[in-house]
Amino acid sequence: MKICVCVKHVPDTAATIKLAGDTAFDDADVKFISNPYDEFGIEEAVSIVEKEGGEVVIVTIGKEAATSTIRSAMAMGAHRAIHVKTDGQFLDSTLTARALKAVMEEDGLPDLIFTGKGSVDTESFQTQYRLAKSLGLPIVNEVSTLTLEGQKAIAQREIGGGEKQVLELGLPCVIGATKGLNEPRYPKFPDIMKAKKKEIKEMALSELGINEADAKVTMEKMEAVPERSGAKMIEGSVDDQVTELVRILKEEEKVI
Amino acid sequence: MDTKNINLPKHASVVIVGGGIIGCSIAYHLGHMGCKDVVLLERDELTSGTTWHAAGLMVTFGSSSETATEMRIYGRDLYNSLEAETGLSSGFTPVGFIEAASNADRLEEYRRVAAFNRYCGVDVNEISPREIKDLFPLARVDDLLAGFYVKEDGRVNPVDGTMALAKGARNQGVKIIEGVASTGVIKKDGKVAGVKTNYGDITADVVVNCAGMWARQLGDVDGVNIPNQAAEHYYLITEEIDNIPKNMPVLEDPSHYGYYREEVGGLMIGLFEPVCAPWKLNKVPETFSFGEIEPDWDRMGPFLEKAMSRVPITQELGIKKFFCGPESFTADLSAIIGEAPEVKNYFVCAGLNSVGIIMGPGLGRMMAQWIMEGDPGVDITGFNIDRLHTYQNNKEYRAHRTVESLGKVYKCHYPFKSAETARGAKQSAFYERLKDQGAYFKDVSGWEGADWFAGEGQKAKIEKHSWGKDAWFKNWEAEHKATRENVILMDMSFMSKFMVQGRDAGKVLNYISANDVNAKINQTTYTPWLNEKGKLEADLTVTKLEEEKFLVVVTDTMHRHAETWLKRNIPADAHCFVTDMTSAYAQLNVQGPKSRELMQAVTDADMSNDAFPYRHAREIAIGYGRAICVRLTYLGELGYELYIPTEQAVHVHDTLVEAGKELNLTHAGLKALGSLRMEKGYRDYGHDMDNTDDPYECGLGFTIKLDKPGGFIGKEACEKKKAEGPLKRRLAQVLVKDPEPMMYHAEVIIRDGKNAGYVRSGSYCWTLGGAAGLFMIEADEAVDQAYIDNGKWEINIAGKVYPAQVSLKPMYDPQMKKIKA
Repeated sequence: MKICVCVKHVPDTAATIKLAGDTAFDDADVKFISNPYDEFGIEEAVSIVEKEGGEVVIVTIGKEAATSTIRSAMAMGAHRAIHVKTDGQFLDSTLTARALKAVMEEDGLPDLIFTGKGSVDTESFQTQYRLAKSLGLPIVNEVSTLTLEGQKAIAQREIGGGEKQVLELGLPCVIGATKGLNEPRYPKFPDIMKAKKKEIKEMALSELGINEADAKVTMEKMEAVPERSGAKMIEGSVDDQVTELVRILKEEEKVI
Repeated sequence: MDTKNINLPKHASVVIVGGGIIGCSIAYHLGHMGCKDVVLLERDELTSGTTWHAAGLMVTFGSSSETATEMRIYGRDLYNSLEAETGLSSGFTPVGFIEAASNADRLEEYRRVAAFNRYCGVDVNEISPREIKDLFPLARVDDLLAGFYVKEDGRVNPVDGTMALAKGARNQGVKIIEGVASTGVIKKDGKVAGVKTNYGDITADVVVNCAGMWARQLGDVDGVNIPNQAAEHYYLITEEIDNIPKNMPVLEDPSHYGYYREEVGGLMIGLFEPVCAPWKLNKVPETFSFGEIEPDWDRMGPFLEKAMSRVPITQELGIKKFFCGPESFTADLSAIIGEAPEVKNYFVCAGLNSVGIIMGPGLGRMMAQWIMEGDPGVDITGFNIDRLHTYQNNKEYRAHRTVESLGKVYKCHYPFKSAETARGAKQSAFYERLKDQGAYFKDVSGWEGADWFAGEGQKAKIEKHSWGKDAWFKNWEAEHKATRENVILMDMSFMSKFMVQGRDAGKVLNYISANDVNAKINQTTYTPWLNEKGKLEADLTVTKLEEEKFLVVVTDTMHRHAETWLKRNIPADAHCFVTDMTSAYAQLNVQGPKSRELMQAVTDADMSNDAFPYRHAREIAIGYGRAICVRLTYLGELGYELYIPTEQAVHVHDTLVEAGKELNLTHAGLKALGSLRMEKGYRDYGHDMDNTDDPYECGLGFTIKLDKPGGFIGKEACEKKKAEGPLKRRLAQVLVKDPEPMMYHAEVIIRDGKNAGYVRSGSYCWTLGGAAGLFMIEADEAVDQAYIDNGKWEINIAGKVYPAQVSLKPMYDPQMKKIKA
């Protein structure tokens, strides 16, 4: 079985982001990681192939430095990778999906495609749908349990309120992975060293006939979330404190 | 200016910049010592620079410095007691610590250090590989020789420890303000007058730069030289191990670049790789908080593989985290501490070389004492900020030297190993000549110092370092003997030289010097410089060349210290000016019983004993050159020091070499300097004497002129000391009677079975027939000749005890017959 996992190279959510101009940030000292939701996809793909044989191919659309993320996916057990290089961190989901489609068609269509349920940097939650649509494949997003039975995939997803939905899809299909699907493994040292020697096919976005300037959605402005104001100490007797707290919650914060 | 709601005080006695372990510890100790008007400014959050990612080892074993070892013990005690005091635990867990020795040289080093550490109060015990396995069952021990185990050591949580110190400081009234960055100091008349911040100024009497890896940048703003450099430092955390053995100690195996300890059910491996990578040579970003560096797997892979081989299970475990964060390092792996020579009351405590958690409590206490009492109370000659020079701040220098610094932490610390990076920074005028003569050079305060000379067909290289007698010892021996029996040339251009001139120069120098240095033109005088407490600030020679012109010569390591001391003690209205002449004069020593004969062959000046007696000094002609010739020796022979204008230095050298052919003149290196001066018991400030010693204890009473007119700095303290009666502490010479063992530093001397002191510096001494050293006798009774004669003296070298001979007088030429010949 051939499985493609789409993996995005994103800034660590714990990193301090310093904006540089209207639509960019200074990434010089920002630690980048593999998009955490994609890691569920990598783990699931590697586990399937470990059991059933085949290969796991990582597809990353991202800047030069994304190599580190690709290597960590390979240390988890992926076999090879295709890296489509972009100039910046942000590419709209239409173009990303087009690039993923082009790569997969060129490499040979997989039996199964994993993405994360979304990326933690832009949180557009669109790429996987656009990719499925363009390839004419079924898709289920936010999958927390997956079973393969022959040419069928049985996916379970959370739909809120503790309810779960079970869906059956024919292969090939696109699965948007989320927390609960598995516990991504920590790579072992020998696997990390081996991963350095695995093949990464690199190409420019333009080689796929895609021009970054053709994006349908362009970023206008990026702003930092305003810092939360400091804690307020409420003084007085317990009764006074409770009364004051209720007043603040009602009148100032308007949450009750 | 930022406008966030920050209530900044207008004034503070002391402003500390930086809220890591060091800043918080200084704040804590200042508070406890009664200095309440203290403000600590942290640009972001406490611990956000380096402290937060420190591994938190709390180890007392491993240093051959008494000051550092005492601080380590204090640190362990303080971490232990902070919870009772503040309610916040430092997370100290006494799991124990093992240093593993995997080869004979490491074993020798750790045995030497262990003997000394036991003397300092560290309960360290040598254990077998089997015992290591019992304590740390996951380690491979088949190739280990021994371990050095300290049961009481362990680890702390660096963030918790810092927070506990911060709370303790607040409890004492210290104000700790987060989110305020200092942008420099306000200076007035060369002194600190306040601190600038992004929220306005604070007037202050003292500022302490504890900005960690930002310290250099912050210092640069005010022209203060703090040449530390951030470098990548790595550790790795594995996933949990089923049934991990309980209570494993911290294990360290420097030969495998790693330390190992339990971490939340898994293992942590910390690395000090032999070749490291400096980080952000230009500038550490101001916003770098709780920051991580992308790990360089390619570079670290081989080191990590070796480190993991000590605890093989780690190769089969998933790696939760391979962490890389910056820590700051210095050129000589010692911290940068003390009052900046450039600005008075500007204190620095930075560049901790990965021992900030271990040393933090002790350094905080010392800094507080220094700030409050003007005296650190411990020997600081090894890490005083004024030992460092501005060229060491150059990007190129930091780029090259830092590569070696981090790795040095885990190297075997061979006694004669010199820095190998950033070499050639300073070359004396004789460099090429000495190189042609086969000199092996070592780094002497940045100078290329000829250490010994290779013979015909021999390489000027130390092929293999060891703790014993190497192949080149024969060269050293020959140079030593040539000095005692014949005549040699020795380049000592690295000595710091100052011209002090002006109508008041003599008066000023005589007040700063304890000896009478202003008595006679054409005379050189050896003198200590003391502080008001009567302790040694420096020792040096003063040569009165003319009524208003003096040449002051100080050892290389005390260059900036002596210069600063001198300048700060010149009264504002005095007509007295200091010029640094270090680069202007090369210094060549002509020493040995035949040195007069050689000198007479090259000059028409009358070199006879009557015309040119001991301590006589004047300018003479040599060939086409002129040199200030001083009849003086640091080697214990008839000899001369020549101060030659740099551009004439080579000519004078060649003239001497040509004339010396008939006398079989040879070159001698600095190894011979070490052995020759040791036989004569000549002191070396910063090694055998330091800022905690007084001149009487050091045997320099003959230089203290209590009755000279006008007095001198430290006179009252000296009078008091003299009135106290017989000394219970005295610097003495020790000789190992067995000619085999080698002595370097920190060997423990035993009198009648009890520890009596440790060797401050040692050398092999051929004329005396064995290894000799200088040590401070610490006794409960008067130390006099009877005390020496009535004791049975022994010395512990690497755990083995040898019979020793001790003397208060120099063992070589005590009557100075050779020198005055």
